[in-house]
Amino acid sequence: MTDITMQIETPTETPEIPVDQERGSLTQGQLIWRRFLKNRLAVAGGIVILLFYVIMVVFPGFFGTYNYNTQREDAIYAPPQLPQWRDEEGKFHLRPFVYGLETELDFASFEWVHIVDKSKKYPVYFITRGEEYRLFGLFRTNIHLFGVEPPGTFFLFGTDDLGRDLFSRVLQGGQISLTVGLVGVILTIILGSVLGTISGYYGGVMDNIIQRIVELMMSFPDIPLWAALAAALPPEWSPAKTFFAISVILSLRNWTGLARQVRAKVLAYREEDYAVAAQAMGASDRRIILIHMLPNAASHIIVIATLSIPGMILAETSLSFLGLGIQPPIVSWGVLLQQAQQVSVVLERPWLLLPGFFVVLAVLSFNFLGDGIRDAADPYSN
Amino acid sequence: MAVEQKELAVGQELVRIEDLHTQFFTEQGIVKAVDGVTFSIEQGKTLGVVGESGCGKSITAMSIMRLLPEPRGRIVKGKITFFPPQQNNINQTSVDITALDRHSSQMRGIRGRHIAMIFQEPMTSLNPVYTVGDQIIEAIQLHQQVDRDTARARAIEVLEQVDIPDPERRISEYPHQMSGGQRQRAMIAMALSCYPSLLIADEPTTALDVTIQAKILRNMRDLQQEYGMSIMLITHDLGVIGRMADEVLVMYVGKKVEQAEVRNIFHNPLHPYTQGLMKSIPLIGLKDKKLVPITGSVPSPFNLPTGCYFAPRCPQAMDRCRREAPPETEPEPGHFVSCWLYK
Amino acid sequence: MTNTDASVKDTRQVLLDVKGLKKYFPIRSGFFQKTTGYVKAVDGVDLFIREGETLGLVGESGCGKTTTGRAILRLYELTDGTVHFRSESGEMIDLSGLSKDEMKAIRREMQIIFQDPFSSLNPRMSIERLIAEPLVVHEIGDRASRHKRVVELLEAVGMSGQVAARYPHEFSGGQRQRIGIARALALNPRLIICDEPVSALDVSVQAQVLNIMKDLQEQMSLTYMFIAHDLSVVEHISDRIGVMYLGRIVELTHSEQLYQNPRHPYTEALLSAIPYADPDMVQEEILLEGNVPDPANAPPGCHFHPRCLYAKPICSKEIPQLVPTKDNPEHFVACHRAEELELIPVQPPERLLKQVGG
Repeated sequence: MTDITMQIETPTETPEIPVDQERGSLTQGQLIWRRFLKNRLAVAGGIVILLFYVIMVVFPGFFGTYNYNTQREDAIYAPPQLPQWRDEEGKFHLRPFVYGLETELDFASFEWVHIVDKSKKYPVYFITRGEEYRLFGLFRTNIHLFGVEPPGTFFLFGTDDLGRDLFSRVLQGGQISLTVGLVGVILTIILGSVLGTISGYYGGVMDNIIQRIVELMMSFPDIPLWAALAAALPPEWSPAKTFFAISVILSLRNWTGLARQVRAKVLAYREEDYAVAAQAMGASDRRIILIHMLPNAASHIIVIATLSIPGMILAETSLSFLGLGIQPPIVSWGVLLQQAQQVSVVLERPWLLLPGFFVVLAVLSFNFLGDGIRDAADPYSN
Repeated sequence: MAVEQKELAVGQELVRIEDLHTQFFTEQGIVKAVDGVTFSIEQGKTLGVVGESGCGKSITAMSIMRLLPEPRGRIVKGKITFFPPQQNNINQTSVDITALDRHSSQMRGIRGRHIAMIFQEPMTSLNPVYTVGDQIIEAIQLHQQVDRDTARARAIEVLEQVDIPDPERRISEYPHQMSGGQRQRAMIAMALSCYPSLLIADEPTTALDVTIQAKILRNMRDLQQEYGMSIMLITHDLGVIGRMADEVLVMYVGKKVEQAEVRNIFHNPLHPYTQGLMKSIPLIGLKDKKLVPITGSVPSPFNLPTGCYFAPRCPQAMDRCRREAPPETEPEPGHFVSCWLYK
Repeated sequence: MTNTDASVKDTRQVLLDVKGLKKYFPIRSGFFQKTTGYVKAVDGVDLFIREGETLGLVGESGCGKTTTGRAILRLYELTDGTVHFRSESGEMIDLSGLSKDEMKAIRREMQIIFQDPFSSLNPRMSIERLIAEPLVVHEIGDRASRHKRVVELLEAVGMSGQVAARYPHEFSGGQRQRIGIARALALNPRLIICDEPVSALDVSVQAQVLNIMKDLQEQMSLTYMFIAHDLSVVEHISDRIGVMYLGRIVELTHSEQLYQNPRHPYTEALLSAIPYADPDMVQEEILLEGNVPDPANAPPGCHFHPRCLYAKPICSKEIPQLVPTKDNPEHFVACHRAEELELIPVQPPERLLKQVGG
């Protein structure tokens, strides 16, 4: 410390500059937040996504009515049961109820036919005990947000070919579908940022090699590439392992776009005077990249990442729909939609398309959110 | 010279700006970019508008051209009157620019035809996908009922006038094939192609090197003589003002603080701000001149001081300055100043 | 005309001695990025700076003044030439041969100030972190001592130590430029390369920053290399001035000498082109033909000859060397006709001279 203490006399003549208290009274973050809040679609998208993640990723068992894998022979292809507030006499019930469901075998077609039995009413209870599930995959519990007392049933979205409650399955499927997007994006960010930075900062041979790899990756058609890689996964792998592998496969193609964008940013930052200043003071390359470049590129990376999550969700759904992705008994939205592959199913049991609605909603919300963040983070949008 | 004959009455009013208020509506609040400015531009004269960044000098020009990014920025009060110069002894009626719709054919007829503007960055003002010639010809045909050959001849003529060598060949070049100085000349040529009565030049040479700047300024002066047009020259460079202007308008935070004939501004500045500017510029050959900077910095438009906006930085500020905004006075004929010292 | 003390040899020690400095940037094209030519940004620059003085470097865009500054700091690898810097022990070290680690030690002695006060400060870092960064990089002091130093530096540039927690966007251009100066001073350097430090500032703020730089130079015995395109600013702050044209220095002398007795035709044209902020100034601009040529395709011989009003056949053939004039060993000119030409000096209006004198 000795060598830097030196005698600067506080200048007597230099006028003290009063720091303007109000100049830019809003921090950069506050400005971005304000602009973001102004965009109603983006805010709506953000809320939907937040709800999705809380309900489906964190607490799917609690919000679901049943265990998603419980099969019921007496409730195959049961139609959705909607909660009722008004009975046939027009009397209003504060506590909603569902009608009973009678199941008969139609001897002509040998199919189960479900008839609503309006004589039986089952009130819907909230925070109630029902089928057992594991909270966070660890703790056994049986508390659900809502449910009815047996023998009543409450299939909000109906049931599938094995009599499993579709509502609970949609939530459980959401957990996988939304997580695949997230894990895939994290891998994308890591791969894209690291390779993009190396490419942009060091240039030369490394840049050439990375850019050629990027071009090669980009020239493959997506679905066949994913399908080939997914098909190569050993079938004996555990579902969890497969799930992770699928995430990796999805991000393998996804990082290229981000790498290019990060490279362009780094090339631009390299010309910025503050990067030159750091160089002039003797800062290492690592410091310049980590302290001066990546934090500045962060908002950019976040936007690209947000906008690439829907692509991941769609990709996972497509793969699973084709039977190449997530394998039962694990469910994802794509797995659920497999049931809706036949036109006859769709015509007779349209509720099986409901998972598709959730895919659309999630993808749209992510796009709105991403656009909103991009517009808000762009200092020139104003 | 094929210049259209305009009976020039030097000294006659060409544009009158009265109590102009232009405001921007931003997320952080309202910015009073131009805050009650009154002045006139006379025929055949050069009015220099000087001030620091954020003083509203460019916004004043954009208001006259009606090129504000409406509705985010718009004229909220005041009047801009354009008096078209006499033609063939017929007095033309004056036009209230503020009352026109900015997209109307009448406004478009004034813009480019009567009032032309050149900007600081010539690269962004020229469309890179068309040749320079095409752009000038288009500008001519937009405002004059002439065929393409006539327009082309006029374009070559005007390029020659702005000292672009070999104009017959250069007319078919694209903007990127020209140097910065030549692009600015091409912009001036385009502005002049319709014989405007007023040329608004917003920092026309700021992006250029001094030797190029010298040539362009000389060229602008020569062309002013030939065309008899008025120039509104916006710049932060007092040197350019000293070389070019007849009359000088000094602006500070959206307000006009002083206006006078150029010699008066330099030799007898009245407003403490103008005096401060004069004391803070270095001059060649006057190394011993001690620079006396103006303390502090321009206030944020969201947090303007009460009273005179310059009071917090003013070495001669009095109590009254911090309470009330000073009115404009005329301590000597033709020399206007807004300062309590002269009340 | 000759200033009495200008021709006397200065006895101060040379701090920086640059000889034959060249920086060529390769032009690459085609799929394999083959080098097809060179932009000769700096094409043989000789200059020296004495301890405690300010050397101005002036020229138009593309003349290589910025590249010269950055090449001296070894922010670019040199194509050719030597840069000798006097270390604290008094020994002249050739920077061009130093390794990265050796260079890092020397970087404490030489710093840089930039033109653009908005791009030179990382917007994500607080003022405290920005100014302390050189100390962190060189592992000097601990958190508390660094903070003390930051406050000390902020006060030195006329700002309050309380602003340390704020972020760059909260400050005006002039204030940011002060912060940039404070950062450059953090390591207590001896040489500061100032790359157009006031060009982006408003006139009134320009003077603030120039005055601060002058005061700091006195207090801390700093040596400046002041790069700018504005000759009036350079003349105001510099002891000596080098005029650059297309990668070479064409004239180098004391600042009074330069405007009172210019010896290179380009200097003459440059001086005459500067608009003088006084309507009394009688000025006959010397208008140069054409533009500054492309540094990738510079004319042979004297780079200036195609635009020169006084060019002779020899000018297009031989490169003129930067040599002292006969009557003044401190006045260097690179022109074949330096001794014979009568060039026009700048004569400020009497009224202004009287004002300053009185």
